[in-house]
Amino acid sequence: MDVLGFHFQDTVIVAGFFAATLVPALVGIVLGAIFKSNKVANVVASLCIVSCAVSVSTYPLWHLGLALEYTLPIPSAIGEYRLAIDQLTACMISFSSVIFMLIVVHVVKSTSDSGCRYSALLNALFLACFSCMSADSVLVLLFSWELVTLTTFLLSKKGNNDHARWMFFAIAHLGGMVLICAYSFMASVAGTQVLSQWDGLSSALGHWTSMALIMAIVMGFGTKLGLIPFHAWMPDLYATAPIHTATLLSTVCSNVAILMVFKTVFSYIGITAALTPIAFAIVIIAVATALWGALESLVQREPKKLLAYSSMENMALVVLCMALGIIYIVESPALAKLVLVAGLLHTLNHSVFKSLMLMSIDTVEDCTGEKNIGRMGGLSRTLPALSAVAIIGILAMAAVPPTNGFVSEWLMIQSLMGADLESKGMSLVIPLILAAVGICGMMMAASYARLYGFIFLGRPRSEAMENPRPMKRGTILPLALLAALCLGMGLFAMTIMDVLAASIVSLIGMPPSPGYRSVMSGELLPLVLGTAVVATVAVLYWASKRGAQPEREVPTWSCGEDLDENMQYSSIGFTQPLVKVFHPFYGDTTVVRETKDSKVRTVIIEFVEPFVKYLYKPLGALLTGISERIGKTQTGNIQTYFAYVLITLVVTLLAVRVF
Amino acid sequence: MNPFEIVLMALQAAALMAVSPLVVGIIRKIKARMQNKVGASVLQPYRDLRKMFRKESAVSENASFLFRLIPYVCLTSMLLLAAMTPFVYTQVIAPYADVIAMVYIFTMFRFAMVLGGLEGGSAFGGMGSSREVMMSVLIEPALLISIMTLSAMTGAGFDLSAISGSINARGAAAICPALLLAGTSFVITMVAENTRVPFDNPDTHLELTMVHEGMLLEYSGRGLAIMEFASMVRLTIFMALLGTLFFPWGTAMAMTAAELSVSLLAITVKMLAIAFGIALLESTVAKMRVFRMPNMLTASFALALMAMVSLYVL
Amino acid sequence: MRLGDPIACDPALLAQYVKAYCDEGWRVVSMFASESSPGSTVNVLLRRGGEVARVASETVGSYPAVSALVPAASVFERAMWEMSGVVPEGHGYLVPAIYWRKGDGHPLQKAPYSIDGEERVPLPNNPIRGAGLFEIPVGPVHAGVIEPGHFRFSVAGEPILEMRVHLGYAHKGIEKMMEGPVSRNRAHLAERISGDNAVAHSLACAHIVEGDAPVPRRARQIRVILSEIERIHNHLDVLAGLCTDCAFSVAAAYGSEVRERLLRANREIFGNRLLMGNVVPGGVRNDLSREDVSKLEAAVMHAGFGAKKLEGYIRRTPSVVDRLETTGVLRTEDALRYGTVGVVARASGVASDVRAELPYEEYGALSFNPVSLKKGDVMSRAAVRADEIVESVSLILQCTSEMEEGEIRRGYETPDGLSCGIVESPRGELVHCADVRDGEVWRYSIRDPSFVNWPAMEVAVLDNIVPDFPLINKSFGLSYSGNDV
Repeated sequence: MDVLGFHFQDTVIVAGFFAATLVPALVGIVLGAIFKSNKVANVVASLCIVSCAVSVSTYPLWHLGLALEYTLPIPSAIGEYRLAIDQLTACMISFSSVIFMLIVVHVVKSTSDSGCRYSALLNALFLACFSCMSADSVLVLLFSWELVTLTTFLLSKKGNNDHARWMFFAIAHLGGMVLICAYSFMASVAGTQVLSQWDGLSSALGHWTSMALIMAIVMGFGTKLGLIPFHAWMPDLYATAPIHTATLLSTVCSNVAILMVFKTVFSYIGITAALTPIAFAIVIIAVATALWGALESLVQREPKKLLAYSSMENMALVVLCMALGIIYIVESPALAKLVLVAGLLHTLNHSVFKSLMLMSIDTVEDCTGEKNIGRMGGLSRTLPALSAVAIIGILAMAAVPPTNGFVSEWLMIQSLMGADLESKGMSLVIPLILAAVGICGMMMAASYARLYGFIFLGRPRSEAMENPRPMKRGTILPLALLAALCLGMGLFAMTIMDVLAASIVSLIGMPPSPGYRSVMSGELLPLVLGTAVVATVAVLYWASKRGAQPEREVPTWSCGEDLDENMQYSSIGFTQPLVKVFHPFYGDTTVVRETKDSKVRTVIIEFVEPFVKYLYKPLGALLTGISERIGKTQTGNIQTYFAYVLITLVVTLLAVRVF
Repeated sequence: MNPFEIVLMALQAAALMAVSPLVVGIIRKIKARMQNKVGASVLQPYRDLRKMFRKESAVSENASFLFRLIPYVCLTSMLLLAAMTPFVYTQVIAPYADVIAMVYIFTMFRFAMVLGGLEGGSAFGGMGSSREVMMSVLIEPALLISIMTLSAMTGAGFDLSAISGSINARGAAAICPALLLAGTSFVITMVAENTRVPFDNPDTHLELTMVHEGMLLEYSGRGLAIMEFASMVRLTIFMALLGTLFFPWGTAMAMTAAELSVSLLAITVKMLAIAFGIALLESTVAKMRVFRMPNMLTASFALALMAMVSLYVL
Repeated sequence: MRLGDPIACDPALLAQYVKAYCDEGWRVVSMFASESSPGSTVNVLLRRGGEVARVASETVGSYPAVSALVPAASVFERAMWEMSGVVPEGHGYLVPAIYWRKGDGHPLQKAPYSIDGEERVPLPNNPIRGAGLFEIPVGPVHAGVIEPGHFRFSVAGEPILEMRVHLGYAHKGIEKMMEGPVSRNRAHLAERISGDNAVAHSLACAHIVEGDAPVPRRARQIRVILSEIERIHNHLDVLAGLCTDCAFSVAAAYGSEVRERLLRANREIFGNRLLMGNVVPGGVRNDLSREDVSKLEAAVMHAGFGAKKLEGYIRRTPSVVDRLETTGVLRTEDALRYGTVGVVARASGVASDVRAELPYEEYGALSFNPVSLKKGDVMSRAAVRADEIVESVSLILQCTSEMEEGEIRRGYETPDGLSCGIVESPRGELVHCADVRDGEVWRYSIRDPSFVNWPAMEVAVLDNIVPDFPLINKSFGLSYSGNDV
């Protein structure tokens, strides 16, 4: 290939690319491990940005026709450390790198999570994600996935949040164990460790085993995505971990998990008609997760927890799309393409708007020192720039045209409505799924309206809200870029969808026609509708301003008495009607206690996550009891856990190799 | 598509918006007659809108830029919907006339209103918004499924014009349980979405019971005029959709003078009939308790689901 | 009615005395402070059926609150504290009740009181706390032509966790204006206390001014007719208002029309839509001609039939019944605890009606069935009103069928001492009290039924949802102006 007039061997370019991606991050880790000063921390973070920037070029390089395969120059007794990047992987890597980069830029600018250790771990996380996505051998895949868990676990230390971290670590590790078993088993059946040579293992596995494996893969990666009942770690960790860790977990790590599920299910295992029943099981889990996320998001008091449940709901929708893809793929491949495109597009969209919102919310907390949404309000007048980018993120999350969130939800609904309902079973199931998606969408919209309305609109509910500190210099830049992405990806969604569709076709090995566009209506819709919305609002606004009477600022209408800060709707009250409507799902989580003293009564309204209360707490108590009886296995030491992970991994792999 | 057709389609979108205050005026007039009152002229809504449009706006000192933008977002969404609603002629001008997009544009309208309600920082706006989101969570799935029924029944995809045309073309043969059930569900959705009795009282400004009016409480002058107008257009669009999607007979499918005049007559009769139905409903039932609404909306949802099922079972 | 000598007691024991009475089935009907030197006399009026008793206690500055033992006294003590400067010690919720302004001294004390330099008492927050709770302030400016009053709800969503009524926007100072030479005609002023209950107020005032001198029977009959017409138009107003508040527009329009026809007949027959100026001390001002009587009968019959029809609309429409039933329940024990009177009490199982227990004018000679229901919800209150309209029609027709011919006014003389006028106004038991000393009214106390019923509403709305409040408020049908005197 010729670059700038010089001729290069393809392999050289590829090696250069991998080196340029991996080396800065590795150097960053080393530097971060050695030094302590803040200046070095910035250098370390910059190295991470460099790595990200290089890996953004993954898709362009793939597009040039390069075979992006590379074997890490590490001697190994177990197998080669192969990396290989196909089209879908290239898409996801490029895209995730953009998000990763913007997050790291925000890390540097906001300085709230800086420090050599943190920056070094960011580098490690980047490496782990990159190698996990591009892994072509089981060992690399499993090792880097464990590394993702471990680095995010280490990255999430902030203050005294051990409980949340260990909860995350335990659940993620549980998922990791399931994955180790599943992949080892598949490797033993396939007879090779090289993933790209696993082509449709389902015939070799038999459909019962395949179904079990699909379930294991979905649930294994689902621990990171927050599928029920493995979501319990999310709200607490999102609320207590450094915000950039939470953002990376919610966006890049989720992208990695979704990509791996797609690759494993559709390429490595391969889908046949006999596997449809497991898809229904996944549909049920996904719908339950989405509903649960939506329901719980309504009652959250900390914005970050609300966003955690929102992540859960969004990821559940993606998994739902994947499951529908399995159902559709045999009988109507075009529709399967559409629904998979919808799922992948939603993954990408989610990582944009969720990183935007998480970092915006953190900026709010940083500027005001307030974490409780019940005491926020009125920031749109004091932090106008932040509220402007946040409203775009909110609109995207709520799937309002012309944002990107709208396009992917619109596609999802299309693929549901377009289902060929001739088979009698589907005719009952699909409308129910549609209804569930509709209800989830509106409940999440209610949550997002609450999120924006009670943080940015109205009057300040506490002192801290009245005079927030100004935003740190430059932090608006990554946020603004993400907001621009929200709009741009909404308007030009078709371009991205074409790329994703092509990737899926090559991943699954389907014939390229009929394409997904054949079953989709309104190809121009995102662009035309988006443009129409923006243009019409602008024209109307402009036209109406002419000749209007000057407006007068008045106090909010208060029926003739003065309003104090207590006299506006509270965030809990806002969703109380919905809580009342869906009260069977909240059960006794709403506890109203009235302590009667002589004059002033106190009302306490509590919402407890039932999964934590009824599943994890008893389970934890049980395990603690057992472990206390057995002895001191639980030292609570990271290194020990790390050793456990590695030993398990190596032993399992060796076992696989022996058989 | 010839230029004349484009002009006609643009005209029909404009006509839909232009008659919406009249539709509201007619409903009010019928209601007044039912109450043994003379009632204001059917043109009164136009006069009210003109009056409000000229007046000075008093804006809450807590309101942000969004507050000033929201009326235009609401009007925009209704403009876009008007352009995609078959009214007199089956074909519509909008290149995005997609039923799912329609639902999302309604969502956009609602989302903007809800945020507008939270802008002032009073208890009333939040109250309206809070009740609105409760209703919308249940309205949206019912609306989606009743539309999905139409789409599945006709096999015409998601194109509004195609669905309307397809049912129309089948004539009386199109009348089936699915259509009737979906139509009933849509009627309930229409009443709820437009916050009419028994879901809300459009005539009241009684602080504590408002839904729609609560969200508009802080608006005045031009902003209020635009919001009110957008709400009127929303009602008219729903009525037109009921008349042209669920009972499209008479709507012109070809560009001939005869068909168009029949269609004009048909849509007039249909709109008057629906207006009369709304007025009759509002005169004979009381406003529901707030927590009865979910039951009613769930019924609407169940009807839509039954419509869907009947399509395959029967 | 002249009141005899009081049971005098030490202020420290006042609460126990009143409690002892209440344990015997007596009810506090009014409390007021009358200035004496060096302090004030706290008068407690109690009633049990036809018996009226008074406990009086000379206090200086403060005394142990009666409301600590008898909750019904709470609102009276707030008013005494606010207006007369008598401090009840240990009162649980000591905020103003009728004036909400703080100046130098107290308005009802004899020392000169100037409204210059008065300051408004800031409205207190509700006595309830909790994360997520907020207050909804409503009023005094309302969306509609209703009286000014401020309601403050504490909610965390729709259910009402606490509600307080703050009135005082319609304070007119009538109690003070009533003081002065006894010869002045006060009935005219009393009609302005609460315009829609003009007859009842002027009647209660007339009872005081007339002493125990008999009034001609024809005048008594006309007074009954006036009282009952007033009851009909008040009840019709509430029934139509209930329909309006639940957006049941056709019935609302019908009810308003029926009421309007009655009011127009009032103007034609009595010269005033709200019957003002008809009751005068010593009798009534306008006589009824035969023609008037037949017009009156027709108008009243029409109103009675209209009320029945309206009730039918309400009862036969499931959506309305659904709104009214189980809404705003005032339990019997709360009705007793807060000393509620009138329709509100009768709908909650407390059968108390001055017309039956302590008959005045011609009521003793007429037959009627006091209405009483048990459930205490909005529907019960509506039903009590509908039934009472029928009873009122019957009472009026009984009077018109045997009208005594003769004079309609007679002379009278106002005796010194403490006397009271207790009548059943459309809202319930209405009590005026006057302390006449040497031909001068020394202290005039007005206790509108609304005054004791407002606090009961604060209880009845609890656990209802906010949008049901207008219905509950309307079903109580209370007067703001009557409370604020």
